Amino acid sequence: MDTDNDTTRLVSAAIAGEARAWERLAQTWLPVVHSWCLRLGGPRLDPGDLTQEIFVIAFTRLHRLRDPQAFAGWILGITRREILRQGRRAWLRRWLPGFAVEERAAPGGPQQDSEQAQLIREVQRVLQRLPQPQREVLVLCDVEERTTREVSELLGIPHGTVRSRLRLARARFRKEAQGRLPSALPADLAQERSP
Amino acid sequence: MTTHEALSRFARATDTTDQTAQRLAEQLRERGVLQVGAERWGAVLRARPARLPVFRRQRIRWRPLVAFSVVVLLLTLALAYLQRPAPPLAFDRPLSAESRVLEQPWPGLELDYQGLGHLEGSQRAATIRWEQGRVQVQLESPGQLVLRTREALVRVTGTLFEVQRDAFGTQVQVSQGSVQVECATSQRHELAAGERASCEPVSGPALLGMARRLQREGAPAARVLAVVARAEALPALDEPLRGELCVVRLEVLLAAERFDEALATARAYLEAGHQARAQEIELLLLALQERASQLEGGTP
Repeated sequence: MDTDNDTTRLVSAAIAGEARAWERLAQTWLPVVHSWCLRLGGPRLDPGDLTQEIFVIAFTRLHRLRDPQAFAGWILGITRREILRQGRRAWLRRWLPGFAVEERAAPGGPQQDSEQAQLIREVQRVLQRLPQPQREVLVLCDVEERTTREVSELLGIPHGTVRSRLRLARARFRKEAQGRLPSALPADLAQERSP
Repeated sequence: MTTHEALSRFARATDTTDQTAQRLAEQLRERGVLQVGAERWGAVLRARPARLPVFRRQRIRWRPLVAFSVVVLLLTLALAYLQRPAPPLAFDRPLSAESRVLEQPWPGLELDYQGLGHLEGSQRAATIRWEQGRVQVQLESPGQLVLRTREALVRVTGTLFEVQRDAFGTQVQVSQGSVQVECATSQRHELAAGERASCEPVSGPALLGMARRLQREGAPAARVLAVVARAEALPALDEPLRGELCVVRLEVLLAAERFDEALATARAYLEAGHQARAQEIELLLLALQERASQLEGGTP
């Protein structure tokens, strides 16, 4: 991933109308957004489709972004809203005849070994059982290994709130994971990283 | 495996590969969001306020619409609930009295009766089936009330009237307002205040009863015989009833000293092979024949 300065420069250039800046910005952030979709969206949403939708929205609204330094938080906000919206739509489709939503195969497909695929699916299911704010903090801190300070800036919430959500999320994850993940130990999650 | 390890493996497995990123970029390029869009992007931004009609989605504010619909629905339901009509009282009970009874099943309807009947239906549409005796109906409130006897159907349109049913059929007399009377013989009468109408019996037993009542009350022979003739003309008359009618006819003819007609009646009855009351009629026939022969021989 590019540094924050690169992102800020690219966003400023894209807003100013530089033709290639947006494309480079998108190519830089595509893998990040795709990973967020995969980790936060759960097994029922297609991360590819979701990522495309997010970038279409970002493309049409970038000119409204006032502070180029806030791009990461801005695109994470779009991702969160779009995941919620698509999640509601998937939920609705489950109840409409002829629109049954199947769980997708775990990423990697058949070539990935079945144990890992099973693990991914189970972690996704456990994450889906967490409330959305806790899920976001857990994914950003413990899966993506960001500091609580970074997450606080990304989500635009106080640092203390991130810490308390993380504590609750870990406890909830341990509780929900019991019996689902093979040989999971109750208190072995990584210690909260200091900023 | 620890949960930390599980999350780490999850992180590694869900890291987006370069291939996936390239594929997504290609797809976005095909949709015009990257290359084509980037060229357009500069032009659009330079001509602010920027609106991109191609990708702009029309936002529909669902929440106010849903809230408004819910409020309208609730108001409609509340109004419908408040304006619902009171449930009508339902009746299904006999009317039976040896002596005169004054009754008010619901406000606006007054029944003054002596006899047998049945009241059924509701306050909106009630039916009185009157079997025997006299009933006086006074109806003030709106609603549909029908009075049925075997011979008549009386539709009440807000009135005071009296219905009498006996051996002579059903007699209707109107005191106030008007009623419509339909007889079983398809006759219809529109009765105003002070008028009366009568529906004569239509069944065989009822006609026999009427003939006997007329006979007892000394009615002219022609009237009684007319009633008997009407009964005898009914289709599918059963044997005992035919015998009774023949006996009434013979009694009336003998009382009127119309011996020849009586002789012919008895002879025709027996020749037709009827069995009911045949012995009595045969004896009567013999007596009539003997009397006739005596008259022919000059013996009084």
